[in-house]
Amino acid sequence: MSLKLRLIRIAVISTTAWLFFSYVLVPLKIQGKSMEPTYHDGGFGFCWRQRFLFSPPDYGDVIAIRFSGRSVVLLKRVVALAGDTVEFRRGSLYVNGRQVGEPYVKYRLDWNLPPRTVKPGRVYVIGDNRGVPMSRHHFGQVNMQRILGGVL
Amino acid sequence: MITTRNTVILLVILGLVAAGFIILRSTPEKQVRKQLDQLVESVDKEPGEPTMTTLTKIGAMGKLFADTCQVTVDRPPMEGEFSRKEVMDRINMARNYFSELHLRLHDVSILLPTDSRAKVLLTLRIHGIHDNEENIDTRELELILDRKDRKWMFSRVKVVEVLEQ
Repeated sequence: MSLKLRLIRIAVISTTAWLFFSYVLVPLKIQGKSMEPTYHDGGFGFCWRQRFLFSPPDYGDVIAIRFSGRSVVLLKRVVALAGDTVEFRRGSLYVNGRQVGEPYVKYRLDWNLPPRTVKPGRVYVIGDNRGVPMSRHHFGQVNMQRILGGVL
Repeated sequence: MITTRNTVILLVILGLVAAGFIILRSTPEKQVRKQLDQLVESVDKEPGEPTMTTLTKIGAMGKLFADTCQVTVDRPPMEGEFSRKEVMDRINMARNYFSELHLRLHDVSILLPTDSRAKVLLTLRIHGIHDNEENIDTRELELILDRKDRKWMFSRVKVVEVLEQ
């Protein structure tokens, strides 16, 4: 194989890999314990950018939420959709007045949160680790425009 | 004598000078970025920080804020106009709480709507250690810096509420 052909091949592979890992399957290095035990601190995952291209996020989906850019994202689980009412009673999650079974939650503290309705264009997200005080856990409703994709 | 070789050397030197000028010249964006770096450097705290270093950092930090600063924080809720001293006191409280504190800025975007105003959007990663327990937090910040007497100073700090409980 000629040097020219080899260089072209390297360029094509590099560009394809860059495009794939920037816009299709973005690698994530997990820092923090808010999604324990589903995702561990120091673990590794992927954000599938096209996950919600044809269908919006649904109950139970784990999503990546962006801040001012894409370098740092939050991993959270969708527990309620627009129009739903969310509340916590003694650590149990209630959506529209019904208790939600959450097999992914292993650690649970006595969280209490009065009912609130999810606004249009938003979803309500919470981490799986409920073993920390509610005041120290980032959760709440997020604008759908901040959703980068689904987490694998 | 003008030869092709001399012309090429001259062009390379001119190119390097032009590149150096472009890289090194101080633009408003670079000045704003420098203030952000200065803020991070002043807030950062290593374990067992000497008192002299603390005082130097507090002094440097004070020069970064305008006389009054509009502060908006979602959790714990706090909104209002604070004097430079009040802002400094709050930052110092946070610094004293942690035995070690590090800030990291990500995805910084700087807009200059006017010659004397800069709007900055960034993601702030806070890594602090208190009682041997690690605290990691991430916040999106919206900052306004105003230019006064050729110096950029923070005049508004807003913590953007990404997740609304």
